[in-house]
Amino acid sequence: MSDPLDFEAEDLLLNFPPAPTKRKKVTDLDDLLGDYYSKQREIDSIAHKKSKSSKRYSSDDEDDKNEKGNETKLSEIADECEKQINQIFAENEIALWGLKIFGQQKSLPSFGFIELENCKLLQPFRENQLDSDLLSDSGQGAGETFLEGLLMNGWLSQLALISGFVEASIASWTFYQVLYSSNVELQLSACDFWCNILSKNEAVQPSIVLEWIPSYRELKDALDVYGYLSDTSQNAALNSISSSQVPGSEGPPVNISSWIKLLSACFQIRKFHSIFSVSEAEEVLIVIIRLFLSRQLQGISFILTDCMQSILSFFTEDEWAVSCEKVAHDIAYSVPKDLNSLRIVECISGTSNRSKHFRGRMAIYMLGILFEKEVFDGMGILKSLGSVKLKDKDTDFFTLYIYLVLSENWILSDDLGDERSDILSMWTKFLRNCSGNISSTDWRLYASKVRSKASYLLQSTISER
Amino acid sequence: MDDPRTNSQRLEGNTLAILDFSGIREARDIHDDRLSFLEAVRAVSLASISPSPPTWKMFDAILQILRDGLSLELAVASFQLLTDLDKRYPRVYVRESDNLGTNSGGAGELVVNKEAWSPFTVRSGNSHFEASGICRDSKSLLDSVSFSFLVEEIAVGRHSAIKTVQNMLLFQYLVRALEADFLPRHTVYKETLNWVFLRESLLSQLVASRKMNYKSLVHNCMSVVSTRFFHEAKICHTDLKDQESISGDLPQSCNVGLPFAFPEIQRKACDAVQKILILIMELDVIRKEAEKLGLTSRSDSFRATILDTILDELTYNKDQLSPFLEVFEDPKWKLEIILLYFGKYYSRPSTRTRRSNSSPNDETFQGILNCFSNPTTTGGILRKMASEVACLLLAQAFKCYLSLQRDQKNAAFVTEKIGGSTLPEICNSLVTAFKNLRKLDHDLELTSFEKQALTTAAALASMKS
Repeated sequence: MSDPLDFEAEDLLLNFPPAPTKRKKVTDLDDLLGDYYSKQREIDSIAHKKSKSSKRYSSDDEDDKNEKGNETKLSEIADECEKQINQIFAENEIALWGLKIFGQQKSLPSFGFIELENCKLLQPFRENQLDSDLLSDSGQGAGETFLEGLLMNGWLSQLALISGFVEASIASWTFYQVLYSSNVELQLSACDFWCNILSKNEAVQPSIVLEWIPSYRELKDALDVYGYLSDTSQNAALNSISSSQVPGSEGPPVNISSWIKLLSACFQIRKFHSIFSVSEAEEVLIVIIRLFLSRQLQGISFILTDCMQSILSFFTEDEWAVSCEKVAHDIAYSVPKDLNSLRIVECISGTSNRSKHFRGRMAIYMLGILFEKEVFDGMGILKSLGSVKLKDKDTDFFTLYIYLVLSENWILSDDLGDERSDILSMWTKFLRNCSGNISSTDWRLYASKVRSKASYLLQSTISER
Repeated sequence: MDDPRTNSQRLEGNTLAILDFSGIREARDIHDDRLSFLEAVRAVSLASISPSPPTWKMFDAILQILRDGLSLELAVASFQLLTDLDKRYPRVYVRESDNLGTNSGGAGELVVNKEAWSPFTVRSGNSHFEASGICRDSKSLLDSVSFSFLVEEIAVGRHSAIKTVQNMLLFQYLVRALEADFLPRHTVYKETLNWVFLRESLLSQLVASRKMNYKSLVHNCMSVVSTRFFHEAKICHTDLKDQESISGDLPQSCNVGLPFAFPEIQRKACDAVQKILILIMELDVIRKEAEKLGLTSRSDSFRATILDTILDELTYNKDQLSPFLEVFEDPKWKLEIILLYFGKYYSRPSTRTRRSNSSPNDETFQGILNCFSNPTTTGGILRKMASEVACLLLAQAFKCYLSLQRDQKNAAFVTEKIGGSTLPEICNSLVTAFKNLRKLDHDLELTSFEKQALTTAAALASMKS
């Protein structure tokens, strides 16, 4: 059979809805999509045969009618397309990632500084025999304002480091400034002071004696005051909060950055002062991961990443083996399985082996919940994934997209053990199906995203081998 | 099995296809695509079990996103990715020599990966960019002109908040890249005294470029340092709340994190500005050494040392002296600047001619303090220098001394720049100096910083004695 003539092919094109966001990606996939195209060609040629046969029997009159019929058909199709487009635009508002992690701030706790008035550090300041007229106007002598000045200009750290000792009153006072002071400079200086002092105690021998060290309780209370919501279920949609937001009342205070940095520093000194028990460390890790879901904190994600790193390295090997599973499980259960779950997996971005492993575990726990399978049942999960119908009218491509990305992360960062080759071949098959069986003209939400993601993954899986 | 080159080309095509905008409808799609691209690169080059480095084109694309991405999320993600990639795939590093036993000096070998991507295109005769024969015309890369323009933009800060954040992140990344390129060369130079290593450093090529207005670069850097606080106030109150400054096509939630990110990123950027000043100072030291050893040639174009440029700036613009010293943190170089500043106004009577270059800066802090030890010599200095300036410099130098003297590593430097005095001696001299200044200038008002210095000195003197 000879090829169809050019003009006939044009006719045929008219019968398809206009090609939408077709991406050039396909050009690279010839070998992979070969079978898809050969099938397509078969379908095409059948269609051509049909159109030819219908033309063969038409007289001139019928031709006219046909043309008119075609016109009405065309306009119908055009209308249909327009409807679809509108629908798609309406549907297109899949919520961005982001949860309401912080609610109303609470009032500051009353904090009794331990005898700041009588602290030993300030003793010499009171007794010094300086020319009084040099310091004439520093009337308050050694009060809190004076201490603030010493802190902000870095003198307090110098004194602490030189004397090798920080007494309880100073330690607790500065700590309080980090967590609650609304004076940004003061708060940042206090944070520097603590990070500085704690970092000196990472070495083999602690070089500074701390008469008072913070406890988990204090850090947790602060989080409470910031309005941290530990329960995601009561979450309102993100868009509604951001619009009704009154600055200052909703969301954490700026101290949250210092809180995170302080936490990070506290985790690095396990040797001398164990501030956290293992279960507390797990709890904090969950908090830090959840903070990644706050849109307000997206600009300081690098501080969060650093903090997560220091928490991860806090655990011993044995502890981590257990805690990793536990945290991944807890997070997977508490996070909604939408773009938020992807955000969680992606935020575990460290390059250490622990982070990579953790990322993979997080992904598989989420998949386990989605498919109601046990997490060690990798084959079972992939089977469920493979059984998702791609050609159904109501295929939920958004959910499929979530499956796809989660599986990618799991397979990428897990060595998969004995089942590796089986899992990989099932995975490749699934990807081939997605990239081949979803039409590039499928305008449904996320259909093209699934398709291009799958093609991309297929390509990289193959080049990896 | 393909050869790695085809493989990486395929990887490149496949990954870059994600960014292909053809047929894209909305800003959000572009935004999503860029994020998926960054995530894909992270997956392939960092998170994967067998990671492979991105190609140059992929690097270019990441840098492009950092330069003109639409949102805080993109800016932070691309910045973080570039930083992580540089850590994973260093361009320059020191390889410890294999025969550890035989060579106790442990001279490492400098490894320069000529295939590695760099964010700079620096024109230079034997630069490896041209040597590699690959045309680098990507508009996202920076040369000396666009680098100094970037610093100027940061210094002037007339942009929207999101653009300012992007600029600051970009600058921070670039300084890190310069540092990562410089430090290993510096280490190896210390062992081998091979000036070529440093001449070929990115930093050296950048500042040696004739196209760059080196003086205005230093000027802008200094103004960033000394106006840090003013700048912050200006941006926070107007821009962050101004919705129009944020890309109108994206949901507001894409930039909702600006108020939290801004102070953090600004602090980091200010640190980066100080870092680049210090790097150039270090480069100058080596350059001088190389000149003495006759290692430099005419191809090393002449340039005033950065210390001279800074001193000129501080001398002619006295208002800048206090804010600059307040923020500029590095104690070693700050002390150096202060000693040179004193040296300009006060030189001990000696037979040295102006031309003698042997020891241009042999002032010590103790030496300076001695000049203030009796009213007569103090009066001599005050004829040339205002008492306020003298107080400021003494207090700042004292703080540098406190930071330096704690660390044994600085012992040699301390002896050279401070003199052989003990801590209580220095403290007492400082108190005496202030008293003498007061005797000569009855109207002298100490700033709170100077009062803190004075009381700290008094406290330390009584603590240690």
